[in-house]
Amino acid sequence: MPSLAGIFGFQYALHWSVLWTGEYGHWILQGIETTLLLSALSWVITLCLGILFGSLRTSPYKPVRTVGSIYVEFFRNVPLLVWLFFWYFGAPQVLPADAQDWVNHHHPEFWSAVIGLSVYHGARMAEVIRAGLQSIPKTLLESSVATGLSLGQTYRLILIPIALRLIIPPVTNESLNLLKNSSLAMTIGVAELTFMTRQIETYTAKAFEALTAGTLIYLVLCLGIAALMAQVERRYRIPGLIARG
Amino acid sequence: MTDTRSRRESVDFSLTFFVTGAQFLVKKGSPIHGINDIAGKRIGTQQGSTNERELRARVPQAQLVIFPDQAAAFTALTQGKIDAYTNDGIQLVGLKDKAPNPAEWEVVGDFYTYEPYGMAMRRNDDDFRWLVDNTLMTAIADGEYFKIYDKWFGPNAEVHYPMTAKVKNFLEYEVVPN
Repeated sequence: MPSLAGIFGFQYALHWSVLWTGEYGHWILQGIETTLLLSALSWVITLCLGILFGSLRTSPYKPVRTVGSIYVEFFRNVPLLVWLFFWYFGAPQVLPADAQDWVNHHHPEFWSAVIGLSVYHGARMAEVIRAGLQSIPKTLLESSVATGLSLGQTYRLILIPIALRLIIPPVTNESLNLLKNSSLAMTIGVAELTFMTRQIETYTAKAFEALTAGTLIYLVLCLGIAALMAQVERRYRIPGLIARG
Repeated sequence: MTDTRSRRESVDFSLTFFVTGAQFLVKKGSPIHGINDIAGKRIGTQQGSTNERELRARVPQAQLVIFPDQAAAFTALTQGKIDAYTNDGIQLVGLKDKAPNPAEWEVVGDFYTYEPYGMAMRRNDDDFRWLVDNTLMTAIADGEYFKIYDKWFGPNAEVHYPMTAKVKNFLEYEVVPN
């Protein structure tokens, strides 16, 4: 690119074609596929765990609240990287030898990453959902129970749907964090997007092109998800509150 | 770092100062004895290494599990998550000799790649490259190189990696006359 060379005295010859020639382009596509699959599976489990433990933490019963607190404090206060190593190297060691063998032959890297990401982000999502639940006036809970709904039904039919609609911005935040944190899975051998860009970098020594590709792809994926969530927010806005589209 | 032609497009290399090849590190008694036995098995490799590239091309039926660093790959090997770990012979012997129980492991297989180690330097710095090459040649010519080799890889060292006569010859021929 002559213009760059002129302005910055660039000593580096750019070859963007490495990104899409032959197998390298194929690798990037595989990386994107793995990242999306890993993130999507983890996101579904994260939401379920988040809603469950967020609700438990707002329960009127102390023992139930304690269970929720233990889960959240235990899983969010350890770095995600440590969790990934734990689930991949540590956890299978307690299984009997046959089970370990089965695990070792059924993609342990991918599933350890899914479990690690899900429980960690589940704990963070639980706090987010709890914030949503706690912003609902208590009168709504009391009136629901007064109409004859049980506590469980109240949560399921009334409180959680409202909480989710109120708390979409932090949920979007956590979802994007999940997508970006999926890149840590490369440390346990999952061939996702960051891994693939590093692979291209080591095969071709074209660091600038490879890392730019990785950066742009993550940016586009995250912007896409953010735009989608903005649409969801607009569509499910609760009228009468300060929400703006 | 292994001196390769494609790497020479980005960096310069000194003279080859060490010669090894890729092999496999396995638990003693493993059915894997070399590159012909690895189809369908889980083989650990280090990300970006030349061995990974070679295996991908030569034995596509092998399931490669790629780790960013050697420590993670060795832990996976001890836990049975991979059936073998492949890297340059010298790296494998180093790992084996530093393991808590070296007798449990063995390095198997003929060299399936040729790995000449050179020192990588910034491109087009001829004076520096000349300095490095000159120093290497002097060390080989007056025997200093072989003394250092013996200290770290000789029979009494922590990592025992004997130099073959062929390699010794090759190193001696790299020294050009004054």
